[in-house]
Amino acid sequence: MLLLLLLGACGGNIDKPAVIKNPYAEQMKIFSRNGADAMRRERWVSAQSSFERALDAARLAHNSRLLATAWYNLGILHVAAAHPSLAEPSLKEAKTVAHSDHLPIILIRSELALALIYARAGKSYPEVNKPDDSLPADVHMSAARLAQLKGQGDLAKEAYMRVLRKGEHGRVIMKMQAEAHMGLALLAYAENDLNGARQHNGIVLKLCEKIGAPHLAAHALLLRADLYVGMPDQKKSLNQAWKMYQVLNDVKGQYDSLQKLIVLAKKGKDVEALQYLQHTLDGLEKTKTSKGQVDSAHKP
Amino acid sequence: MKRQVGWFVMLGIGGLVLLLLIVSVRSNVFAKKFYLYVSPPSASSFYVGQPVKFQGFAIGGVDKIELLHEGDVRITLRLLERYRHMLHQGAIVKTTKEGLIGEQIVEVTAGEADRPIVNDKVILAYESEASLDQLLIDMKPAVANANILLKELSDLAKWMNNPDGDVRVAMASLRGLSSGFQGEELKVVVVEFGRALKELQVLVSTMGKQKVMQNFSKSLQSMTQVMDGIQPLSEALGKDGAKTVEQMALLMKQVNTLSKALSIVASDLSELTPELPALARESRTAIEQMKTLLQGLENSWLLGGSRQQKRVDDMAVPPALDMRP
Repeated sequence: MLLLLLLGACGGNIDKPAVIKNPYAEQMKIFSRNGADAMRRERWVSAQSSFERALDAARLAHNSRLLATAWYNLGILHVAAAHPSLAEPSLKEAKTVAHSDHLPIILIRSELALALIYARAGKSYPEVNKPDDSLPADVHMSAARLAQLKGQGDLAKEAYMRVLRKGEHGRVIMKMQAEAHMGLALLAYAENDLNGARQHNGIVLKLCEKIGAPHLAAHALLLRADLYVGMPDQKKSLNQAWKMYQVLNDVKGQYDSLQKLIVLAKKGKDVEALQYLQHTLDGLEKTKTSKGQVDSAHKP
Repeated sequence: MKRQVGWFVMLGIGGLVLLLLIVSVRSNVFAKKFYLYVSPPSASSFYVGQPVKFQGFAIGGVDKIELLHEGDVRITLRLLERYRHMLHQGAIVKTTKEGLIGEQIVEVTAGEADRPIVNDKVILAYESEASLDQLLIDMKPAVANANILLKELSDLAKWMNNPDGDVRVAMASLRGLSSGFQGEELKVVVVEFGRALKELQVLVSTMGKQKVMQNFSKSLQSMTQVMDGIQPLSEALGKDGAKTVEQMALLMKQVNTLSKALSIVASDLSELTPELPALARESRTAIEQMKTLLQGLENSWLLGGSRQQKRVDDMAVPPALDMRP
């Protein structure tokens, strides 16, 4: 009887229905991944092309979550590529779709990204609610940076700590944690807590070495020079930062590091070095004036 | 007592019979069937009992595999009668694979809808699926053309970059021409011409004075000097201009050759494109299945993995934050 029951169970051989996936949704995900990959390599044109195609695929998929995400990604790309005027409309679209279709995470992401653009540009913006603990790390990261720009040190510190407490793994979260440590280092430096700032700064450099984040590493080296004033590390860090900024073609970074090197050269009465640095700085000022990078904020 | 035992036994037997009936109905044991034949070039992709599918649903199986007297292979397909109305004349039999490690299945197409339904025991046409090898073979001419194109591109680049080549010389000539127009010669010419004009004006205003002829001749002399200055420039323009035009024509010819080569490659590729999407789709499906399998293996307790919570598929990129001090 038992055997027959077992046979009966095997006898009805029904074909399992195949998992049906929306091909446009799949396309959107592929293009988004390609875009994120290109962004990581700072290939802005490639990334824009991929994200625009992701946007088209999201429209065809008729999925509001994917559509809002595609708009958000396009906006963030423009922020990263230092085109805040292009970022604003994309982020506003993301916010509109997220608001109308009740997508709270994308809504708060878009609001924070817009707030950061306005804060950097010195414009006023509506207040963004403090994010809930359960939200992803990138939301807390944006909130922390915004609070830091507004001079709300305690709130910023709290948000950075939330990022560090996230138990996820991967390159993306590690980079955010490196940025969180950098934020904490800047906050500690502002409060004259040199030991705390040095500790966080050291972690940033270790993480950057692990994951490969040259922009962040250059900023950390620039800060390191301020944390080790009068020590051999200061000059070494400034030189390293300057070289990195040169390779990254970051004019503002080169300008900042050169100015500090000139101050050092003046203190050390190194006339030859001073002349060379001054000459380089003059050349750079001409480039800055033509590119308009002197006072403009590139990224939030 | 005996009656009760009898009832119990009857109930048991009845239950068994019912179970058997259910199993046999679900396995289509008593369902009506019909037969179709197919003659593939080789029986290696077939085995007895292999499922036959129509639009993803199993409608029967391979019943018999025979090697006929003439050396032809004949496969007998035993299909359920209730699906016969879906198959029309012109239906084709083909073998496909369900994913990378899936089994080989036999698939039947619907045929032409405006033609009659297939009869019992007819031979259907067999179609072999394009294999990766076949596609690679087909791609070879396109790849060879691409190589030719690359070589031409490299030759073009060398020709353009040759310092003694036509393009560079033409550019230099053009530069020479343009600098001539901005050079000292032009300035001198203009100054001379201006002076000549002034002198003419003086001449006109002083008409009637005795020295008018002397002034006029002086002006004429200045004009002559001006013309002397302009002449070499115009000669240079005439000479270099023609050469430059000739060189530009050569450049255009090279560009035309390049565009023809590109058209060849494009037409080769367009012939292949109907096959490529299917191959790409299958490859993608196979890769996805592999990923799922590997993930499952990773998480399997047998291999020491732990059951991880499935991550939400979040496509949002991390924010671009400039942490500049």
